[in-house]
Amino acid sequence: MKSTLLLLIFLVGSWTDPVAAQSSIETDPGYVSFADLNDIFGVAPKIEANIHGAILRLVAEAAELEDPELADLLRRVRGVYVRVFDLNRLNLDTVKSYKDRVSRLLVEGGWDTVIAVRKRNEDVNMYVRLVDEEIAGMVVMSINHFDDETAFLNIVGDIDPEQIGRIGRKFGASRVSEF
Amino acid sequence: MSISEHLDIWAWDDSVEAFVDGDLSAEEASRFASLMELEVAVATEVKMAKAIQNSFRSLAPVECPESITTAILKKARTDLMAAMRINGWHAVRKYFRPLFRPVLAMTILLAMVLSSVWLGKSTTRIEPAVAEALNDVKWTLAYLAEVTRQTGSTVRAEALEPLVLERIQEAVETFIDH
Repeated sequence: MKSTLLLLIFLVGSWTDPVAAQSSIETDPGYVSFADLNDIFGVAPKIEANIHGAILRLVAEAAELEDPELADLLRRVRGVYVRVFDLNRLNLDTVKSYKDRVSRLLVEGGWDTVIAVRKRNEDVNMYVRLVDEEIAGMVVMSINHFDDETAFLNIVGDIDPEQIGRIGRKFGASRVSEF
Repeated sequence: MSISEHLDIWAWDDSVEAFVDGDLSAEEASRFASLMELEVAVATEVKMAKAIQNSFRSLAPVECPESITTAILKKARTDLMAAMRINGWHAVRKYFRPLFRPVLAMTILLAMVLSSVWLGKSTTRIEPAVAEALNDVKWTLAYLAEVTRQTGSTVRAEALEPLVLERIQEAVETFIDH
């Protein structure tokens, strides 16, 4: 009887309402919404990922088997959001304008600019937000004219950019196109 | 009314047998002897019993038929084995009963551990949605690593080296020349 009660408490405690998880992440200081992008492009993103809440915890557990360091990183992350769109001449200026507007809002909102490169073929901005001297979130906006694609990434949580770089390199730059 | 009429016929027979066999106590034998003197029928019974006893003693011993001996020995062995089995089971229960519950608990625990390991191995297959999310995470991290590598190279080549390192070098050379 006692063990049944404990199991019930565990199940109730471990169950999380996805809607509640979504709403709580949106108030997180490290979260940035890229919801406007679908309207700007008028099409669904080429790549879209919204990983948070229970699915993120499951992903962390799944990663434990093959890469404990990745699992450790994911346990400290509260959300991973990705939007990748194809670029063309029609939407290029709109995308650049959107990126500039988001960059301005991020800086005004207290985000720190880590990287801002604006070249003819490479346009990348990276921001981090510090809360109590700890990273609360990271945003990367990239317009790549070589591949004719633009990517908007937001990682929410206590992340270590060095660790992200180290783990990301394990998966390999050459393998980005394979995923 | 004679004394024999007061006695139960079976009890009376038993007393005669006991008297003839010498199984009565001295007091009972004395009373029985007095009874024989008073009751002729009792004395006759005693005489007959002694005659039968003597005739049995004079008979040659009769061999027990082989089939009966074999059957009796077989029955005796069967009974002995049954008794040993019962006694053995009692002995086992007596000595092993205190160990029964701990051994049972350990067996159940071992079965649970083995089954969880076995089930764990068979259920390590990742759900498709989780596998897809994990793939997305890997892509994101790989993409970030690639973007930071490329922009890092650009920053180093076009900002750090010409704007910082070369100017520091120039300043150092100027300082040394002077």
